[in-house]
Amino acid sequence: MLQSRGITDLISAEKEAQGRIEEARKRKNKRLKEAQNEAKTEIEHFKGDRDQRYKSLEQQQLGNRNQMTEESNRTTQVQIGDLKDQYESNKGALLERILTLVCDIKPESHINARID
Amino acid sequence: MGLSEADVTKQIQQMISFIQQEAAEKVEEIEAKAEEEFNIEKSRLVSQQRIKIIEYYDKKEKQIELQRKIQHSNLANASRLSILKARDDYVQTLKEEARKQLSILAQDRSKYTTILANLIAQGLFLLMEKDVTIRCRRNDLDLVKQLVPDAINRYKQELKQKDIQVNIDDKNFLPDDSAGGIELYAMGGKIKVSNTIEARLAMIFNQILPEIREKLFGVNQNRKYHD
Repeated sequence: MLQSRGITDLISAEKEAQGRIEEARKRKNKRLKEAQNEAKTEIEHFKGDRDQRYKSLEQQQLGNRNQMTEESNRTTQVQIGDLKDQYESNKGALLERILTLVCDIKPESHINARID
Repeated sequence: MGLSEADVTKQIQQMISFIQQEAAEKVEEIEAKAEEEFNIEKSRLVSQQRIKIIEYYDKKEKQIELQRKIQHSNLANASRLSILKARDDYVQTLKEEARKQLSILAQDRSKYTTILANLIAQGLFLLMEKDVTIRCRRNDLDLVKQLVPDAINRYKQELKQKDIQVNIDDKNFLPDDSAGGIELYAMGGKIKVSNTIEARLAMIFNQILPEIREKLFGVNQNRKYHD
């Protein structure tokens, strides 16, 4: 009677111990699964940050785009304006030169024809 | 028989404690392992994905930079082209302006007479043909008829043995809006000398283009050789 009670106690102690070990194992598996979820969350967060960084760069570039175009156009127009000034100030002399050259006609016989 | 009740109970208690202790150690071991594996797995997953994400966004950011460079290059190109076009436009404007002034010049009777005489003589010298036809503007017909004999004399004086006959075309004329000058034909029209004011303008303009460009736009800084 004493013995059987002792053995019952042992058996139930053993059972309880196994139970605890089983539970620990279950918790371990759960923890491993949590690893996946937590990793996922962390990665999502990281991705979000990176994406934001990229998007702001993109926006900045878009803004610069317009600015670049405007500035290029402005510079070009200035240079074309300078051209106009140069033209106006130089055309008189050039026209005179051209006209002089056109009207300066020297009729000459061919050099070989003069020999005889 | 040998053991008393108390001893048995004590022994059983000891065994139970042992079992419990063993279990507790095992549980601790399992939990430590769990935590370790958790950390390893988590950081493995994270860094694996991190690398992919970084690669992905680096590529995209490079794309942006590339776009920027392309745009910059395109703008520079377009700018250069419009400036070149503007330059060319001014050169053409100059030519047109010269043409206009030359047209007016034709109205200065004395100047134009000299010019025409020279043009005729020059044409004859160029052709060196026995039979020449001269075509002029309708309005210049009389003037040309006046000037031809002198031109023939010059020709004969210079080239002692050459005989020459000059006809003036009174059926076909240069357009009235031309700036003046003459065209000379020989060999039944197969040889043509265009000694019109416009032809001279075109030729001279082309020949002094480098000078024109330099005067209008300044010396070319990019040019390396000048001889």
